[in-house]
Amino acid sequence: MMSSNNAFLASQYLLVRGLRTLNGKIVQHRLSRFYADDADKERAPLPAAVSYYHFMDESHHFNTSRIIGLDVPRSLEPPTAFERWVASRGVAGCQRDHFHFSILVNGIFWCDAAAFGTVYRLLRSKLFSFDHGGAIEMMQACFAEDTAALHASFQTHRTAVESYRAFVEGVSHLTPANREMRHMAESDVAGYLARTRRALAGFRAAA
Amino acid sequence: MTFRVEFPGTSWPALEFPEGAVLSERLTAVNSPALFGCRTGICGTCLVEIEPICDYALPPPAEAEMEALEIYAPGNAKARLACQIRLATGVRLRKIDAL
Repeated sequence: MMSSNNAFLASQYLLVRGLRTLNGKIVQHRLSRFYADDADKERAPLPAAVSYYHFMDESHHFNTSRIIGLDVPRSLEPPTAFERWVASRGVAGCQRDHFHFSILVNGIFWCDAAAFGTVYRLLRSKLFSFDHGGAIEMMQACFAEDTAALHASFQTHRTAVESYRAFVEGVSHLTPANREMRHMAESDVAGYLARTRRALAGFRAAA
Repeated sequence: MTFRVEFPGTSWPALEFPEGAVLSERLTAVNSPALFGCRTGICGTCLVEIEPICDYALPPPAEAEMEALEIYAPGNAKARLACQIRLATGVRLRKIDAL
């Protein structure tokens, strides 16, 4: 509603979308290569083809986001103080959404604790056949210990932070905290471990 | 064989990649000044000036890349889209802004 009849605010929706899709393509591009590099595309595995076309779709999203989010505002009147504030709030929201990094899926910036219930049920299912103690122990090993997976996911997050900074580098109407992605940059391995250990203790007590 | 990628005018240290390495799979915002967007040769986010370090030249841009370069950097013979580069020689790479 706020962007109704307001070209600048409408364009900033696409600026935020540009940031969000930058992250996805770090991983999606790698996945797309299985199909792109396959000499026999007719016989390529379907998941590889899906990854490739998903990547192409995301690339299209990014193209439109870049044009409308970054280029169009250069043709508009300079934003008012209110418009600048709204644009910065949009980026701040993206930073909040992308604060976490996930061991479950490297490159997805969700909070792993939100998936504890699902992971537990999966471990207790016939697929893994863990008993209660075994499932909790496995979750402890996966989510509450300093592992290579944790550092790999953190590295992807760092790449995203630097990519987001580069994307909005020249966007002068954003506040410095949003141009420099200060909130996202506070996310680290020690914080992940502290939060998930706390959440896992709560989950264990309730399970 | 490996090739060197340098980033003159910046504090980014040079990198070494094997022959045939695809830049969009090797360079990130953490190890270089390059930023990749669509990675399909359209958006122009990864627009750079590239020059070979030694005598070997990079393969010339394909028709689609050439078309994009005519929009983003008309008349700039050194301009390339980094996402389309497969290393065939050592290069110096400078990030530039689209016109």
